[in-house]
Formats: sequence, C-alpha cells, structure tokens
Amino acid sequence: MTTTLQSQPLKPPDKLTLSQLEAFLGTSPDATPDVQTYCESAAVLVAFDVLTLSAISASGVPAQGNTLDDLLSVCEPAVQVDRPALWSLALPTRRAALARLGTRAQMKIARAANPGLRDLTLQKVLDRMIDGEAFDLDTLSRDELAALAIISEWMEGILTDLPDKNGLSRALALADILAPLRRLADTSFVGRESQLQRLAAYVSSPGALPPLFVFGTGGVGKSSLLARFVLRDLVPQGQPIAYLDIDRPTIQPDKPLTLLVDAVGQFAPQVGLSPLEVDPMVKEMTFALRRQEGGRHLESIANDDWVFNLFANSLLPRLAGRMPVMVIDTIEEAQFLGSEVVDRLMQFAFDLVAKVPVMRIVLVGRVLPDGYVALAKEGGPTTTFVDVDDWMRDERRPERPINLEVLDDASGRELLARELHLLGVLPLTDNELTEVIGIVSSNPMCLKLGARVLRDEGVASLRADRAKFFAKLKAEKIQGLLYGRILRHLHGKRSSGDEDVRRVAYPGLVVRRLTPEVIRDVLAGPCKLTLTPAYDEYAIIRALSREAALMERDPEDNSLRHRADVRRVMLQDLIDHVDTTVVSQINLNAVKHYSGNSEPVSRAEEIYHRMRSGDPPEELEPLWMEAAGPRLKGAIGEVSGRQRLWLASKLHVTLDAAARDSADHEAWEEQTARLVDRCLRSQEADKALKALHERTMRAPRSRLYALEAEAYRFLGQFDEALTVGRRGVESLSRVGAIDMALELLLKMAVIEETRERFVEAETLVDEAIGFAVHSANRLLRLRAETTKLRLQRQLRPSAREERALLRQRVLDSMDDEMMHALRAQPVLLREAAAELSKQDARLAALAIDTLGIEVQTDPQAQAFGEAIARLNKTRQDAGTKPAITVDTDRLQGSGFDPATIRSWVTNNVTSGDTRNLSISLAQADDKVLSGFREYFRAGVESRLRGKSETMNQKWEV
Amino acid sequence: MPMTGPDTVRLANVIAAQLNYAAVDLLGTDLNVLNQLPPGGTVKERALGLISLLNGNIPPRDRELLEKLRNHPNAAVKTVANDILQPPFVSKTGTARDAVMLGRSAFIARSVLRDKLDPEFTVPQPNNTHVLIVKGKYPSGKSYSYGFLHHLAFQEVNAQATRLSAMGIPCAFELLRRSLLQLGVPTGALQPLADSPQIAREVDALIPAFKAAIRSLTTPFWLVIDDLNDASVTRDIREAALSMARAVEDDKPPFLWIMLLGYNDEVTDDTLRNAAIDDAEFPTSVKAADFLDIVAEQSGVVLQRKAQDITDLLFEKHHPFDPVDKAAMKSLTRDLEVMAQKLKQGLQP
Repeated sequence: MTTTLQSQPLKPPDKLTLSQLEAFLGTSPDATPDVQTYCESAAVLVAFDVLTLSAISASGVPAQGNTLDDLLSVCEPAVQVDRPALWSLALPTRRAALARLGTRAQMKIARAANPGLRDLTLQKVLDRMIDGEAFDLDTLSRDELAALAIISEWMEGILTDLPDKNGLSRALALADILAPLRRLADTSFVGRESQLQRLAAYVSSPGALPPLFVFGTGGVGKSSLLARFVLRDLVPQGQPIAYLDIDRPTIQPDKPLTLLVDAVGQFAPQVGLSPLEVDPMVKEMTFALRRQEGGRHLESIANDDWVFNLFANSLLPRLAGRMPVMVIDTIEEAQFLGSEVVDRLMQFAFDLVAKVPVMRIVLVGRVLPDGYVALAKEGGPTTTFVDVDDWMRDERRPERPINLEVLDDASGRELLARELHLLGVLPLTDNELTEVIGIVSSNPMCLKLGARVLRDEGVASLRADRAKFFAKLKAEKIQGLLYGRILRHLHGKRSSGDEDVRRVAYPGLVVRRLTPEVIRDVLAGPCKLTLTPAYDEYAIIRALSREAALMERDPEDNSLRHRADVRRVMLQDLIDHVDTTVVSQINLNAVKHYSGNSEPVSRAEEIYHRMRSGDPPEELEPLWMEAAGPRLKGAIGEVSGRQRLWLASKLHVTLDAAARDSADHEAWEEQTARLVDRCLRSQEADKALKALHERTMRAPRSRLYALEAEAYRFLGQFDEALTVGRRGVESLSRVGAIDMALELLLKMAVIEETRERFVEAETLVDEAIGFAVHSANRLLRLRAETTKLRLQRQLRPSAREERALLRQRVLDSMDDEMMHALRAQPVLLREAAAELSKQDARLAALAIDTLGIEVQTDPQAQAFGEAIARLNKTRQDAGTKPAITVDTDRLQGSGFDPATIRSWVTNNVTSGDTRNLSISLAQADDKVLSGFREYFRAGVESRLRGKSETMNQKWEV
Repeated sequence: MPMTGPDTVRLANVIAAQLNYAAVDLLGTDLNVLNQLPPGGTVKERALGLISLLNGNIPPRDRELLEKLRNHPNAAVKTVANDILQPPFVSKTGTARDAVMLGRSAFIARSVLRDKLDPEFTVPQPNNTHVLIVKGKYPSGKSYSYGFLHHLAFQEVNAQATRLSAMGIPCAFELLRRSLLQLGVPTGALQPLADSPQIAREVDALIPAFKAAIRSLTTPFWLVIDDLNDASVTRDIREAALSMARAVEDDKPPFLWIMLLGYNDEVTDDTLRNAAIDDAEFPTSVKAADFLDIVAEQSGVVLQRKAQDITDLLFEKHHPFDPVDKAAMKSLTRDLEVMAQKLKQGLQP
C-alpha cells in the first residue's frame, strides 16, 4: 500500500483504514521474534549491558547483527542507574514485552536468564513484584516507594494485585515530608518523655487552641523532639502533618503566605486532595504574593482571610476527624529579620488556628517571641492570662509553651552511652559517665561533641591519667573545654611538642576564617607562634581540617571556617578568657591582611574585623558591597552599638526600639523606614505612626515623608497625609531628590483621587509630570502619565482626542525593557493595563500572567465574567478552543453573578489555565481587550480604596 | 546528550563499516577509557562498548567522542557524527525556532515554548531571564523539550545545551556537583557539609560555591535539568534545582542559562518573577496533523489524504489520553516519527 510521489493525484483514494496505515508504517524494531525474546529478558531488568544480555531462549548468546541493532533502537541510556555502559528498554517496548510474558511465572523465567543487579533498589523492588511479594507501603523506604511507583507504571494492566495508585502517591509524598525528620530523630534520640506527652496532649485536646511554642537554646534538641513526636505519635495515627523549616528555599519568613503554599503541598496528598483540586488554591496564594509592590502599601493590601478560607474549605471536608498538625521550625530566622517580621508570622499562625480551629500549630525557636506572648495573652481562641510564668505552669492549658532544657540525668547518660557506642568507643563506667556529663552538661550537642573527644583521645588514655584529665576538664568552661580538648588532641599527635596549634586554635576563634596566610599574617604574632619549616601554617591547617566536628570548608574558596553553631556558643567564653590586647591585635592584623582585596570574601572579613575594632559606620560605608552581605549575616549578633545598626541596615534587618533610640539620626531613619514599611505591609498603620513619631526631625532626603503620608492614608486621615506629603515634596525638591518628590506627589494625587477630588488630583499629577521631565526613572514617568490618563478620563470623558494623544505617548514607551520592569511593579502594571490594554494586548497578557485573575471584589468578578464570556465566544466563532473552559451560558444565566464567578475562579481555574488565558489575550482583538480593560479598571478602583477582598462575602468554614 | 539508542546504532554501524579495530582502540586511548572496555568482540561491538561507556559516564562523555569523529578524516564517519551533534531540521519557515523535526525526532506544536524562548533566550539582553521552567504534571512530552533546546541553543546562539537527569541523584550536593561537571568547570570549591542535620541548610551553604563556579564559564551553556517530576526525585533535589535557578537568575552570569523540566511546584520567589514558564501538553490529533503537513510540504510531497485522517487513526490506535498513558504517547510519537521519515523519503499511504 505504498504510493510513490506523484505530481498529480489521479483520484481521491479510498478511506484509509488502520490496518492499511499500519502496513504502510511497517513493523517496529521490536517486532521480530528474535528481538522480542531479548526484549522479554530486558523487560524484567532495570538496566543491562546490551552486549551481554541473554535472551530466554537463546542459550546465553548475546544479540548480534540486525537483532542487536533493533534491540538497541528500542533502548534508552539507563540514566536512573549510577553505572556506566548500561541501557534500559524504552517504556512502550518494555510494556509490550511484559504483556507478552503476561504472568509472574513467565517473568521469573525471563529474569533467570540474566541474574544480577540485585543491589539496585529499583531491581530489588521489581524482583519482589515478580516474586509476588506483597508490599506494605508503611514500611517501605522513600527509595523503595519511588521504585514501586515506577514499576507499577510498567506493570499496569499486566499484573494484578498492584499497589493502589493513590495510596502509593500518598505514601511517597509522606516519605518526602518525613525524610528530614527521620534524619533528625536518629537512633541517638533519648528521653523527653514528658515533653512528648505534652505535645500529644496539645494535639489531642478538643476545641480551638493557640499555637504551642517549643523554645530552647541551640543544640538542645528542639527539632529532634518534634521529629520524634511526629514519627512516634502522629504518623501512626494518620494525622496529616506539614513540617515547615523556615530555612528552606521555598519559604520567606517575611511573607507568611509562602508557609501556607508549602503546607498545602504537604497536606494535600495526605488528605486525598488531587493536584487538580490543589492547583487552583495554590494559584490564588501565589498570585496574592505577586501582587505586592513596595511603596504602594494600600494598593497592595492582601487580607490573609481570603486564602485561609480557601485553605479551610478545601482541607476541612477531607479530614475525617483527623487533626492537621503544622510544625514551623527555626523561628529564629524570622526573629533575625526583626520583631515585626516575627510578629507578623505569629499573627499569621494565630489567625490560621482561629480560622481553622482543628489545626494544631507547633512553633519551634530559640526564644519565646514577645509577639507570641502578646497574642497568647490576648486570648485567641482560649481565655486570657495575666502572668506569663503562671501561664507556663498552668497544666490545664495544653498550649502552654515548652521550655526545652538540657536532658535529665538518666537521658543524658543514655545519650552519651549511645553516642559512644555509635562512634565505636569502649563503654564508660557509670562513674565515668557521671563525671563526663558533670563537665560537659546534658546538652545533647555538647554530649555529642564530648563523645567525639573521647573517641579521639581514646578511653584508655583517659583512664591512664584519669585524675589529671578530669581536673583539666573541670578547670574550664564546657564549650571552651571541648574545643581545647580536640585541639590538644591534635597537638598530642605531633612528634615534637610545642603549643602552636593550641595557641592558634584558642584565640583562633576571633577570626571566622582560617587559611595558612591568616595563621601567618594575623595570628602568628599575637598568639606567639613559632612556625617552623617542619610544622608550618600549612601543617596546622591540615590538622584542623580533619576536625569535622568543629571546622568546615567554606565552599566559596575552600578555606576553613569554624562551624557557626560551635563558634556561637564558644565565642563569648573566649572573649572572657583571652587578653583583650591579643584580641585587638588579631582584629587589627586581620583588617590589614584583608584590606585592598575587593572580592566579597575578603571584603566581608575586613568589614567584620573593622566592626569588631569599633570603626565607625562612615568608615565602613565605602567598604560595603552587596556580595559581602550574606557572609556578614551571622555577625550581627557579634557586634554592638552603631556598627550593629549600620550592619542591620545593610542586611535589611530591623532592630528593636532600644537599639533605634541609641542610633544617630540617619541610622534611625533607615531603621524606622524599614520598620514602618513592614508595619504597613501588615496593615498596622497605628504602629507605623508610633514609630514615625519617635522623632519629629526629618533628613532632607527622608524616605519617611512618603511612609508617613501612606500611614495616614491607611487611617483615612487624608488631610494629614497631604500635609506631610507637601512638606516632603518641598524638602526633597530643595535637595534635588527628583524621583522621591515625584513619587510623593503621585501618592498625594491618588489620595485626592480616592476622595473624588479629581481636579486637585490632576493638579498634583501635572506637578508630578513637571518633575518627571527631569527624571531618568522610566517607571515613574509611566506612573505619572498613567495616573494622568485615568484622571483625564474621569474629568473629561468626552475629550477623546486629548486622551488619544496622551495614550499614544505612553504606548510609545512600552518597549521590552519596560515590559520586564513592570513585572516587579504589579500595582503600576494593573493601572497601565486599565488604561492601555485595549491598544496594547501585551499589557493585558502580562497583567494576567503576573497578577493572576483578581475576583475578590464584586465589580472585579463581574467584569471578569463578562470579559471571559466575550473572549470564549470570539474564539468559538473562530473555531478555536476556549481560553479557559467554562460554562459560559451558566455565567450569563446567572447575570454574571460575582459569587458564582468567584467560586469558579478560585476552585476550578488552575495556574496553567491562567497562563493559557494570558497567551490567548496576547492575540485577542480590541473587542475582547476592551472587556478586559474594564476588568482591570475595576481592579484599580478597588485597590485605590484598599479593597482587595470582598467585604460582603460570607464564607462557610 | 547522552546519545539515544538509534543514534548509537547509527554511529556504531558507520564506525564498523569505515574503521578498523585499531582505530576504535585509538579513540579509546585518546579518551582515556581503553582499559575499561571489555576485551575482544567485533569492531562494531568494540564501538558499541565505547559509546555505551562514554554515554553512561557522569557526566556523559559521548559528546567528546562525537567531537573527535566530526573532525575524523573519514567522510562517512564525519557526516554521521555531525548529524548526531547537529541534527538537520525540518521547519515550516526555515527558521530554527519553528523546527518540527530534529533529525529523526518529532517536536510537535509547543508554540508557547517557541514564543517564550525566541527572542527572550535567543537574543540575550540584560533584562532577559536566564531561567525556563517547563511544567507538566502528567506525561506530556516535557523531556522532548531537551532536543529542541539543544537544537535552538546551537542554531541561534551557538550555545551548548547539556542535559542532566535528576533521577537517581541522592542529594543536593551531588546535583550541584554533577551540574558543574557537565558545565566543565572545577568542582573543588563545592564541599559537602561536614555535619548538617537539617537538609534545608545544605543548599544555602552550597550556592555561593555554585555561583562562583558558574562565573568562571567562558562559553555559553544551556543547562537542562530534566525529570524533576519523576517519582524517584525527592523534594530536596527539586528545591536544590530551584535554588540553582534562583542563583542563576540573581547573578545572570554571561554564559549560563538554566532550564528545569518537570518542576511543577508553584514559584513564589520574587527573583524568578521573570522566569519563562511553559506548560507542556501532549499534542492533539490536529496539531499532529499540522506536523505531518509541514513535513510533507517541506519534503515536496502533495498529501493525497488529509493529514488529520492519518493522525486520527493513530490516536484511535494508541488512545493516549483516556486514561493518560505515557507508553501510548511514546508509541504514538514513534509512529508519527516513522510517518514523517516516510514522507521525507517521498512515500505516503
């Protein structure tokens, strides 16, 4: 049935049948019996060497000639197997071969032709399936579950008794969540029974409860406790859990909604929510995050209730009596960023339990945040309390915080004994255990470090000079002792005795980074080292580098650095014990050593040692470079006074009021601006004004004018806002701060616009445009012109020609660079789309892609319903599929009822649908675009009044 | 790369036909793998052993072999090596961005991906993103994107695309190490943490070294991390891949672009707000018919039947969508590729 190319067809051919088409296409490479036998052998192997593969019936003869070619043509490189030179069958060929084998018995025969590879998890699970073993999903490792998922796909429809698909994907998702917890709650976890019981009581107590806070110093075992609790008490009961570590790259502590996005992803498979059900909810959360724009707080308001309701509505019906538990670990990372960040996070947690009363939230951090105590005191879902100490002792309150302290004696002994056993150290006697614990304390981290000292020293040597050993231990503080012991151990390994290594090590903690050059140039003098060719700075570095318990490699430049957790607990001890002149000299040497180098590592160390030497911020300022910032994050707790304020500003960290009080004015303004910005983002305008009123003076280029005007705007005190704004414009324009003045004028204009004083607003915009002529900031110019367009439309709706001219000028500026920049300015993007999207479809597409579909207010929802109906109708008329599948008749039939549209968008429209809509809009005609322009206008209107959420929508939870 | 099975057959056959045993061994010596090859066998088996060994190396080294062979004095060997490195393409407009066949592989529809890549990635500008994310919760041909990326990178910006499968990678450190190996930059600065109880902290600690390493690139690369949605890929690996993308977008190094295939989680990070996102979808019968029409037209074949009749039959045979069936999609794609090959030869049903 093959036809060669003809220049002119004679007559239309008969209707093509499948068998004719198959005949035309010919057989596939695995169609011949010879190749099929090899494929059948290969089908029960996860990977194989194509040159040695034995077929079932080929008596061990490998494939050759055309058979080999055909076999290899249906193979893929075995990327999932960490061995070279192996291939695996492509999925369709594998499934066809398995189907031919058909039964477990036949598969066993095929497998026997090529034994081996039994050490690979994937092969082991395949063998078990062929052997007909049952799989208990609860006991399989994460790797085994993944293997089972892959192999079930191979066997689907061929073998019976396959694991339930949904159960398998649930187990796999849970295994991912539990993986970090299993690492934490390792075999050396001991004790903590009372704390475990308290956690269990908190989860099982009826009714709504505030979040429970577990706090304790670093290394005391907080995360391990929670890991053990989850694994021992929650997982076996099938309680849905979400473990959220603020350190994870997907979580941003200053945006608590990112926690909820992560939590949804973790809870969903455990409660049986399918990806299609979860996607619309996550989409709403993600877009809510993207709609925030710095400096335009009122227009960026996001009320968490909106997403809490979505979350609750999806989760609650699936709980079937279970209590979802959310653990939020490493709260200190939020505390590091400033009190308002952690306060907002606490508020978020309290709001969430208020909205989802069955939810249990366990917060884990080093200290109890004031914001947490204040919220707990307010009562939350339970009754209030007066005295914090009484509250923490009140056993009737299951939510009272857990202060995790060192282990009790028995547990400490057990942990030390277990650690020694794991490290292969001979068991200690009871007395020895007691004495060691007496010195190192029962802090789990110290016990583990102590065990390593014993491993390195050897128990026998301790016993040989027992009295001396313990006497020395007792003479020093715990951490200093541990550190010193390890270093003395290194020193002891040397052939000739001197004290160089010990001397380097002990004051060595003053420097954060150790290289041979640092030892030579920075430490040798103050530490009185006598470096010799036989034992020089390189030998010391080599010796130190072997101590994984105390040192780690800096991945950026391969230098050695002290482990941050160890250094943190030891530094103060060291400063207390080492002569201050030695410390000062080390700092001075370090500054000299690093100065003149402009790469980030050296610059960070230079700044660090200058700060430790007390250099003033004005001398530090010229040294600052952004790339050095991440390396100075840990230094903020090690410096004080003005240096601390300066560093905090550089790292975008806010400090407490006492620290701000002591600051000079410039530093105070910077700190206050940061605080006010974060307060306004969490809609705490009163708190923002309080901070702003700490001082009345303003620097000539102060950012505080704009923030104060915004705070008054939040409170509806428009006259005050305008007064502050005008004062700011005058000050800023006097010193030539054009952009800041322009931005302030635009803020004043929208304040007037909000109270419908359009003439006054336009006067302000005209003034702003006067400034904009001198500004190099294209986005600010766009904002001024867009605002002008909006006001012109309100004031002179029939002056179309004037508007067209204005519009064309703005459209001319819409190049690719502007389009990219607009993604970072969601409020301006919405405003630009509201004025220009009919003429520039790219703006409509970009706005949908960036802002998502906004249906929180009734006018937005209605306008969107009408716009999408028109778009789909246009596409239908053109014979293309709808941009988003929706029952348009139903929408129209409901009169574009906002509630119906809101429900559809939030519950059914996925993120992929939203991207599809954006793509469709890029090619839409102006009729369609005018509908979307109305929708964007409804959004601008709502946002200017600070409404992001429907006020009249009641949610059933 | 690594090379596919059919390409391996093609290369091994031309080597067997044109070169002798000693010549293959010389290649093995040049590539420093001779002692890893099993002894004996025919020239073809020797060639297959060599290709398989290089293919399975971490990172894959098949490209090194192909580069050697494309400069080989033997014209036939040279042609095949060149074809595999830079497959000839079929395109309706003649442009690389509209290619629907790359060598023997079909790349059907995907207009959104083409639009996102061109010109955002093919005409680099300071504001342009360096990150592409290809999503697809169900089997949808995500991994076929690699062939196209490889083709476009070479044709449009003379960049080398390199694919790293996330399958079987045990930890974040290993993902970053293998990525750097594939880019051919030193990995020495990348050190695993001595003792990190919390996995989350590991990636943060590794990223500075990754950033430092990618700044040292001197030729353009498109690093494609594939299979991120595979069951064997853990959340930690996915998050590490995202952190790498964030690092690349943050720095916008002059010679690196990164593509995540199968990263299905929502991206909330501001740094990645300009990242190009594509939702891969398996083509419909209509799109497949468009593909056949283009191949026919470019091959000078006047189709005597409607392409849609042909693709409807193939979709009816394989029924890839109900329920979604990855194997059926692959079989269907294979049939479409055979059909396209026949059209290129001037044959039609």
